[in-house]
Formats: sequence, C-alpha cells, structure tokens
Amino acid sequence: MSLLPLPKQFDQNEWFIIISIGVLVLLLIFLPKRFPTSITILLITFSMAIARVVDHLLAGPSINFYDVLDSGKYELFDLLCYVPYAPFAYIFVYIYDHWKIKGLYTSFYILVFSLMGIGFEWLTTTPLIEFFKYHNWKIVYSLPIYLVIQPITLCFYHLINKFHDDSLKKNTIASAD
Amino acid sequence: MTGNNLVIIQKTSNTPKGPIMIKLAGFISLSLILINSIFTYKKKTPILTLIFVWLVIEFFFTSFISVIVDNAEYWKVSKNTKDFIIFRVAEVIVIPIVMLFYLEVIHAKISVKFKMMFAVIWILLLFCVESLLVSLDIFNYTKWQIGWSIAVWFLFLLLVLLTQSLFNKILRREGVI
Repeated sequence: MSLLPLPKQFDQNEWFIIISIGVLVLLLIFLPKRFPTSITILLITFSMAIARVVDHLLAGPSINFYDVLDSGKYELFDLLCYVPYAPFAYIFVYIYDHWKIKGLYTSFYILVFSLMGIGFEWLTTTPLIEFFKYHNWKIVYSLPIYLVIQPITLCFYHLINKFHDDSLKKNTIASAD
Repeated sequence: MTGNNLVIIQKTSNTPKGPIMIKLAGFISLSLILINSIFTYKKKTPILTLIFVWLVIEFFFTSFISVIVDNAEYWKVSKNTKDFIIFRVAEVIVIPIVMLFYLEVIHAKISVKFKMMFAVIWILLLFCVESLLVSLDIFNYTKWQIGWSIAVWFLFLLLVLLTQSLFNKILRREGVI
C-alpha cells in the first residue's frame, strides 16, 4: 500500500500533463502581460481548485462516474492533473478581457468556450491521451458543468480585479497623504 | 395532548432517518453560520490573500482526504449518503473556514507567545471537529492514530501561514497592501 502511488506505467496521460504544464509556462512567458501577477496566480489557482473540488464532490460512495489517469486511486500525478485546466481558464479570461466582451456576446463567448471544452475533454478520453475513463458518465453531462463553471470564472475574475483595484487606489491615496 | 398525537410523536422519533437528518441539518447550519461569519466579519487579512489561502486549502485538503480515505484507507467514511454529505460539507466548507479564521486571529498585533497559543487552540479546535465527526459515526479510524491528526492539523496551519506570507509578499510588491 502506498500513500501516493506512482503511475502504473509512464504513458500518454502522464505526458499530456507534462505538455500541459509546458503550455502554461509558455503562455505565461510569451503572451503579453495583461494581468498583475497576483491576479494571474489567483486565476490559475482558482481553475485548479474548482476542478479538484468538483471532481472530489462527484466521487460518491455508491457511484463512480469516471476515473482520472490510470486508476480510481489518487496517484502522485493526480496532484498535477489539474494543471491542464489552468491554461484553458487563463486563455478564456485573457481573450474575454482583451476583446472587452460585453452583453449578450458574453453568453455566446461562454457557449463557444464550453463547446471547445467539450471537444477538448472528448480528446482526453480517446486512446490518444486516456486522461478520463468514463464509467457512469457521458460527455454531454459535462456541458452544463462548463456552462456553470465558466460564468463563475468570469465573476471571480471581475471580483478579484475589483478588490485589487480598490486596494491599490486606497493604498495610493494613503501613501500620498 | 391526545393519545393519537402521542403515537405520532413516538413513531416519528423512532424513525431511523431522524438522527441522521438532525446531524445533516446541524452540519449544514454550522457551515452556513461559518459562511455568514466569514463574509460579514471585518477582515484584517487582505481579501485577495484570504481567497488565495482558501483555494490552496481546498486543493490540498481534498487531496489529503483522497489519500487518507481512498488510497491508504486509514479512515472509513460511512456509506450512508446523508453521512457522506455531512463528511463533504465538513471537509469542503467547515474545516477550510475554521483555518481561515486562524489567519484572522493571528493577524492582530499580538506577541509570538500568543500567536503560538492560538496555534495550539486552533489545532485543538480542528481536532474537536474531527472527533465530532468520528463520534457521530460519519467516519471511523481504521489504522489511524490520534497523534497523526495533531501532526496533520499542525502541517495544515503551517501551509496556511506559508501561503499567506508568500501571497502577501506579492501584493506588497504590487503596492496593493
């Protein structure tokens, strides 16, 4: 018995995680800086934590919806397997902020990204990656999850941005006095 | 009180679902009180730091539970759905908020001696929550030793302090605090 088992074999799903980490690093290096460091860290942490909590809550005592990676156990690579959500969430907020999407376009934007998320998730279930192994889950069930999580991500972004700006203003005024 | 009413009351109290529903209602109420408190409390810790620490706790605490329950099987969680919901409420809401309150308490300008005293109090408080769950048969220890709980709560409080300190440094550099 091991507390954090190593992968049964180091195969495509582990490589998928490593490549995702690489993509995230490249995005952070090469995309023009749009957000303060604290906001970027919060966005990345939020996307990983929310994915972790949703996965954890869906793992019930009597039903197994899906396994992530090689087994139903929590492996060492499971700690890193939430990293692939981070570049996705970062790009999602980055484009939203860059194009200043507003009004009804926001709903359309969320729908497009949710469908892209579904497409990406489908790709991770194929033998090419084998990241998710569905048992009592169908890919269509993920659509409402994306449609809930993505508006929450945008609300979270607006909220932390407001807190950041308010604190910055307050601090600037205080130091000027 | 008529005889008929008495019979109805006896039947209700003898229903096996009764105590479980009381436990569930109690824990949901406790979590709602804590959520209300954390939102309404006049915070001394910067809000962005609190959000970051909360996300980190959620990620690592749910991971810890997966390791202890699913991998090592040190804790055996009740198969009853309502008990399982209580367990999830405790791990995702109650315990993280209790840990966040620790940050609020030690943020006040008190001496190191008092800060250490509060750390001991908080470890005992977290241990009390854990013991309450055990005494209510929400989960049971299998190969777990009580001393390990103290060590785990100490490490989590340490994680809280470290993440707070790191994030505060970033905010200070950005001029937010």
